[in-house]
Amino acid sequence: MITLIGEPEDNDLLWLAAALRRRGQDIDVVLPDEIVGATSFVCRVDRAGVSSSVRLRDGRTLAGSTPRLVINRLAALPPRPATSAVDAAYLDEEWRAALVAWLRSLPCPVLNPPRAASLSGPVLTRPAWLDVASALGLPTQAWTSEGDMAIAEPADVFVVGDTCLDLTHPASPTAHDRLRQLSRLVGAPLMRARFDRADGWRFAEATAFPPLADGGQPLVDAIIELATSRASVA
Amino acid sequence: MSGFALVLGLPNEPPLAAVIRELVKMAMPHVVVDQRHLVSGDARSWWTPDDGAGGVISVDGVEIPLGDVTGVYTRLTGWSQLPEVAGSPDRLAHAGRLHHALEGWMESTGARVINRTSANDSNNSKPYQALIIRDHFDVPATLVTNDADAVLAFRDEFPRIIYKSASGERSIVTPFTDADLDRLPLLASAPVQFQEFVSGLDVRVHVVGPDVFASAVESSAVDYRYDASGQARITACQVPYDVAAGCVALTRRLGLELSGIDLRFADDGRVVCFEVNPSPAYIVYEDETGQPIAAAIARRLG
Repeated sequence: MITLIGEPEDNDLLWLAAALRRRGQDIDVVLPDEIVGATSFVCRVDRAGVSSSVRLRDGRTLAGSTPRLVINRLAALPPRPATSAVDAAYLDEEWRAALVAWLRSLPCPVLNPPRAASLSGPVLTRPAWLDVASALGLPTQAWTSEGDMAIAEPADVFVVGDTCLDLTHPASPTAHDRLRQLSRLVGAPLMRARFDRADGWRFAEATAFPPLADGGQPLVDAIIELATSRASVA
Repeated sequence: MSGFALVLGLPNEPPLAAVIRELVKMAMPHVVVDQRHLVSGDARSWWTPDDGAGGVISVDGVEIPLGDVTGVYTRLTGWSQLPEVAGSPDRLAHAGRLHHALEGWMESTGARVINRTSANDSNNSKPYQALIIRDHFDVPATLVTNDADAVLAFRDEFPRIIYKSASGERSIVTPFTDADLDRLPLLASAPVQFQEFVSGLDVRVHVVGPDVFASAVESSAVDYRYDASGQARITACQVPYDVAAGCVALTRRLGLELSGIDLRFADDGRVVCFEVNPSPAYIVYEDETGQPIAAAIARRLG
């Protein structure tokens, strides 16, 4: 089972769900509304181990051991009924904390693991991306807070686990190695890096919340490969 | 301007004020930027492949080159709440831009930052943080749930259980008693964090880089931070070497330079860790014990 979590307005998520289904994959799409409306949300941590279970109102159960892979596209949570704005904010914080713990506790790959500040995964500032990329040996663009540098000839590379996918132009094997390291370092096993080819393939930016449809069938293949390889290892 | 330490925040706030005093005592070159004045000034930052992160803060007519900063102690508060931006969308937008520029610099600079915003993240989900802590210390059995049956089953496992917030929102650790049974339907709103009650001695450990400062807290309250009896006592203590090393390793693993770690030396022999606080109000412990925590922070900025 590949579980996809995200909003019904997330066209990229829906595209991926349809693509995986066409490839014969067993999938489950879960909406944020369904999670916060769960009849039972349980996440336990102790010295013996970690376990979780989420039972939705329609009877589906997301047990910790069930998914082979989770695509996490949570962006925001639906508001919960509350008596005041302060209470509503508190409820939102508590749900975020619970969801981060739940997704982080799953034994299967989660693309991408959430952070408390960003449920869909790491959100780095552009200079932070540049700094980490440069430290790993990738030639980079410059940046200023006064306005983003233009990317004259963009070339995108998706990273899915250990797989790099060149969308339009082939990046070098060295660049692929560096991107895999970057992905592991920032905690985003699914990300899209953008280079500027105009000045010799300089790393310009990246996102851990990429437009999935841009990845096309190669992205679908890579996700299936990741889900399958982890299942066989397990 | 040659290398200097940078202090960001509200200078009268005790943790910041203490570090500023130590920087003065050490005669360490430093600049203090009052956040309330900052929002009326400006900040620009940049990153270049040759020189890395750089920037300039302009405040009160003075330009501060960020490329010369050796270390930053930041306790910037939520800028949108500052009275200086209240009622003015333009000032609010301006404050947002300059804090964004500062954030960009702090997240990419090679200077020592105490602490980077990105490193504070785990503290906003205590059960997530526990997943990391358990690689270094014992953690109390923790259940985050909206399921009343799960709570009752958990309670049956332990002599006593408590509940508290799972997020970074401060809450008072409270024993779960029969009086709370009627409130269990409120779980429908959001999961609550329950934990086994661990009886023992509270020890707060402050880590500053490689330095460890441990304080024992004696209190009859379940949550000593809210001990209204006035009987709570904080005294300096030593912790075993492996515990100190574990605290340093855990702090480093979380990407922090400074942390306040809540341990309990349990009656059953365990050393249990509840939380790692990335922005500890260490000054209470320094005032009670004389431990030179502010001085240690100041030294790390040079």
